[in-house]
Amino acid sequence: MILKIAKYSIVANFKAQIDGSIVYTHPERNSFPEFLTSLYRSFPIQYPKFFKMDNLSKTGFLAVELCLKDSLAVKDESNFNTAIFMLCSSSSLDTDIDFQNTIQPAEYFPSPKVFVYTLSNIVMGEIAIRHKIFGENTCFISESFACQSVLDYIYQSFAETEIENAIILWDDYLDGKGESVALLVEKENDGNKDKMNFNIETINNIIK
Amino acid sequence: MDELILNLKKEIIEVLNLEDLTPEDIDANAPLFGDGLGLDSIDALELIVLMEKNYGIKLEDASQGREIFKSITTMAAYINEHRTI
Repeated sequence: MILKIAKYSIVANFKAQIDGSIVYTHPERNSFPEFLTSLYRSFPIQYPKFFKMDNLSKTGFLAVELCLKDSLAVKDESNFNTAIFMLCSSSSLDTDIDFQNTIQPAEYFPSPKVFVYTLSNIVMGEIAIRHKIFGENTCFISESFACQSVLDYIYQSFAETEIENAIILWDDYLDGKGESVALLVEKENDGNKDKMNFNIETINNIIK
Repeated sequence: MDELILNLKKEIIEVLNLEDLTPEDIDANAPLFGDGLGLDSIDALELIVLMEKNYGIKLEDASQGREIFKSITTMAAYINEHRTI
C-alpha cells in the first residue's frame, strides 16, 4: 500500500506555509505566542476557544487549520474514517511548568484551566472537536518527526482499519519556541498519483 | 457595587481568556453559562479559584455555585457580602 501526502502545512520561525508556499509572515520575531494570535486573527474564522488553549495546542491547531483549508477530504461534518497521529518531543512540559507555578507553597491556587492542558494529547482533542473527527487518535513522544517506527504504525493502521485519510501532526512547544507540521495523508488513488509519497525521506525534505 | 461589577468583568475576561470581549460587551445580568457568556465547567472551577484568590472567599458547598454564578450581578452581590480581602 502507498500513502500520499495530499497537502501539508508548517507553522514555525514566525511564518506559516502551505505546500511550501509562505502564506503568513509575522512582522516581528520577539514573541511566538503573539505570532500565534496574529496568525489566528488572519484567518476568516471565529473560534473563541482558541484563546483558552495552551501554546502547544494553539500551534498544532493553526497548522491543521491551514492544512485542512478548503479540504474536500476532511469536511466540517462527521469524519468517522479520519485519524489523527501526533508526534511531539517536549510533550506538555511547557504547560506543566506553568501549572507548577500555580501550586507554589507561598501562593497555592491550582489553576483548572492550566491543568487541563497538562497532557499533550489534548491537542488532538481540540483538533477533533474543531473538525468533527471521530477516527483513531494516537500521540507519540518522539525526538523527531522522522520516526520510522511511528510511520510503520501509521501504515499498519491504514492497512488494518477503515481509515481513509489521516492528519499526521508534528507539534512541539517549549520555553517560548514552537513548531508544528501537519500532513494530510491518504491512500493512493487516481487523483493523487502525482503527490509525494508518505515516507521518512519526504518528511525530511519537508522539514529541512 | 458598580465598581465591583466592572472589576469582576475585567477579572473574568483576563482569567478566562475571553480575548475578543471588553467589559462593555458583557451584560451583568446575562447568564454566565449556557446562552449568555457560554462558559464551561472548567471556567466554573476557575471562577471558584478567582473568588478565593482575589476576594478570600472559599466555597465550602459546591451546590451554592449554581446560585452565585448565575450572572455577574449575583456573583458581585455574594462577594460584597462575604469577601475577606
